[in-house]
Amino acid sequence: MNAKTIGTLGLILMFLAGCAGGGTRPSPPDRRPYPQWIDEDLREAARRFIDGRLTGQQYLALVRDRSGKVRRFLDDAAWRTEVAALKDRDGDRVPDSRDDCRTPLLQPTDERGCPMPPDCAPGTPGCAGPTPERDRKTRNLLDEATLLFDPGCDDSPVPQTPEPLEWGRGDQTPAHTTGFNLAVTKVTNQTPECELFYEMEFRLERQAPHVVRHLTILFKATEDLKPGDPRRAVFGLPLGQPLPPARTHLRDGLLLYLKVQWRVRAVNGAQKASPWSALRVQDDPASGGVDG
Amino acid sequence: MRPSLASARLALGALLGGWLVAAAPAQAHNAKVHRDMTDRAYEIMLALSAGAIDTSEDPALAQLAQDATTAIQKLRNLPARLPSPQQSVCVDPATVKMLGTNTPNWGAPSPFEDMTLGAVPFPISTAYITGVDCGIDPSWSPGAFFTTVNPPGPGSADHTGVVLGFWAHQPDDEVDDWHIYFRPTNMVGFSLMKEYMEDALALPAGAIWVTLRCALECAGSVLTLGIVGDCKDCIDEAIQDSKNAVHEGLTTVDGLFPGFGDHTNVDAYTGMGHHLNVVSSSGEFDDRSGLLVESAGPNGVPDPLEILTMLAADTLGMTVHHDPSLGPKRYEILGAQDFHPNSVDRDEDDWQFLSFPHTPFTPLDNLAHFGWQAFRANPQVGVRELGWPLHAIGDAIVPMHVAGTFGWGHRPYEDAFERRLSILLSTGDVEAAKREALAIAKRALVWRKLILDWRAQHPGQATDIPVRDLITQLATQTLARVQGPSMLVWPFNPLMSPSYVVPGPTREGTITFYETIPGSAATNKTLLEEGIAAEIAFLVSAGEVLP
Repeated sequence: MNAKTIGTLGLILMFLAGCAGGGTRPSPPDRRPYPQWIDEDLREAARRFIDGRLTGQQYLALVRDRSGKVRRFLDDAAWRTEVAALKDRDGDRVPDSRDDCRTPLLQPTDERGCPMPPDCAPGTPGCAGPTPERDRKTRNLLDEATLLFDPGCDDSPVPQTPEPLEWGRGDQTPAHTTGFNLAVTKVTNQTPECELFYEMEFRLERQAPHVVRHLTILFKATEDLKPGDPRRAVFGLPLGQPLPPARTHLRDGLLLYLKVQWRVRAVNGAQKASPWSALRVQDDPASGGVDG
Repeated sequence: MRPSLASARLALGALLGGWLVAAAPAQAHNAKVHRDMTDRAYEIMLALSAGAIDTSEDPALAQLAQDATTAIQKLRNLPARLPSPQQSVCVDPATVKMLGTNTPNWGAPSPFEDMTLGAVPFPISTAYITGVDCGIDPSWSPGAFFTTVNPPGPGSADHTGVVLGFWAHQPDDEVDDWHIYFRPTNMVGFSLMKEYMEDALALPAGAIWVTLRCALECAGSVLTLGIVGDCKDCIDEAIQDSKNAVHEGLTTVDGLFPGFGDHTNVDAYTGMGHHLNVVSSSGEFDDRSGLLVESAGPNGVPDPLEILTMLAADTLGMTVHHDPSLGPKRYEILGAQDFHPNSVDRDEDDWQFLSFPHTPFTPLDNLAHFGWQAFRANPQVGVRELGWPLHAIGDAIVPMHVAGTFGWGHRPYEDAFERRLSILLSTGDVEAAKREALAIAKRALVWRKLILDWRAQHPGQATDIPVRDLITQLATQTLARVQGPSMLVWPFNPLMSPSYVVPGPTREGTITFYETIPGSAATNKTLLEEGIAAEIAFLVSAGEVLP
């Protein structure tokens, strides 16, 4: 750990202890030793599942075991008294005074501290619990799911809900192109330094053959073709230009599909999101065009 | 400019928290579904009242029509409690075209909130409060058949159903219902991570995308190791990607895990009190449990999205923050006079000892009861609170809400439901809508009887409504309608929610799956009609509270 990190850590710990905080910082929940032990077990179990040392079924079994023991702690005064002695040599969270077995770490036990036989072996057909396939899906999500970080948004509120206004053909003045333009109401309650996104979902449908497509596209607020308009934001899909895949599919879809539903929401760089707007149905391009 | 130290407490606060609610949007019918369900219930009441539905062969139905007439008159006179619209000038071309002007005249009294339901001149939009336009929905229509009873048009139509439906969505916007707290020791890692990113970003650089794995690895390692190794590598990669990568959609994790921000004060998990798990026969703190993530779903096994939520919450130490959360105060039901079991009172420790996936949340029927009691105590100012039981009815027809899960296909199911809503409501088919209105009215008799029988058994509560019984029975029916050998394909599917949260073709495929899977439309239609029927019975009975 370098000196800067140590220094920062110290300051943060001071802050968290109340030395530097404002008047509104909430008091931390009461953390007695026993629940802290449980927290540590759950955190360690999560780590082990993430790196593959525990299956989902083992992880869930431990989660239920530990949460059951905390409920016992809350409900059973005798258990609490014995726990207060803080003796639990094998770390199974059963006080030594009641513990008949020496159990390896992070194993579920019965109330006498002896290992619980698994309900069924992991992956067994018919066995209620996450399958290996679902475990893989969970771990894949760790890489697929992303979270937004933008310190410029610290002071920005949840964005207002934008609403779809119209889509149609028109000029895209800043880029000197033409194409499809998508007009929405403009979100105005963010700080200038906070990055804002407009996320749009489209449902496109056509008959013969019947095909339904769902498309999601994301525009940065800085792509607004009408930055000077206080009420409307307009985003373009230029014709004859290479675009990212989703925008290409949407541009092609607006040419080919007969029924169009769309909705929009705003999300800022701190991942504060407005509610989605209601779906707007507009099957044909706006008759008067939509200029940007 | 906020000092960097102060930003430590903002830290990751928001990073991983609220996958749960999808939040508002994440786990509840979308606003339009709640609104249109309630509006349809009201339109059927209007049709019954106007004699547009033949009740001559069924005395009970004729009585319902008479009771609906009385209720309509009383409901229309209630103050709508709407604030002024966000903008007085409309920018939406469709709205301007419908109105013939861009400056609608609301004809409202002062204060605006005193305008009665029956006097609201325009169909308000679902974004009336949160949006940035004049708050009018140009696309609203009561639907085929009902236009003969309630012809749309500014100033002429009865928009009571629209406004009640608007309030029926309101519980999804109650951001203070549930706050999540990050234990200080867990926040330190994220604080360091955030500081490192701030230093490296060379502001202003805009937002960067951090993978969940990176966030969790850093949370687990930086406290002891600092920003080194895998943590440093993944952050550096994220910063580089933010400059180069094309992002075509946002991971739908905002409802489940907020981003970096002041989590305690800003972000909320509104939907966590919107479940009623009728899969399990009993609850720890209520007769039926609400959401308990560690045993969510139709067979008590969380899906991958829910397990992911547990991983993050356990790694970061995310618990309910009892003090600012209204949910525990509102939705623990103690000393109720409805002859339904009360909640077991929980103190701060009970709520905060374990991270939130291991904490049982209050059930949906309690949410309904809270709103009903508030309305009943003061109907003249309580129309907003009438939205709570209406909301609960809407949620109780969603299979995932009655299996206590925000995974198992919850959001794609609800998105597909909204996309099919006009078909499910037979919006464009006059004869079908009329036929279905009669069928729904007949179903409403069953719910009305439940209420009247209960009143007969409890003479001291001659105008009360056993909303907890009603919601529990409706939820039980919902589950029964979808249970069967194929229920783990539809409606409960463990692979749909994890695919939905990642933008792109797989997300789109999940919605298509729910839109098109054979046989689902008929069941969804039945669920929807049952919910509308329950709302009719509820609204007719609620009118009896009013003088």
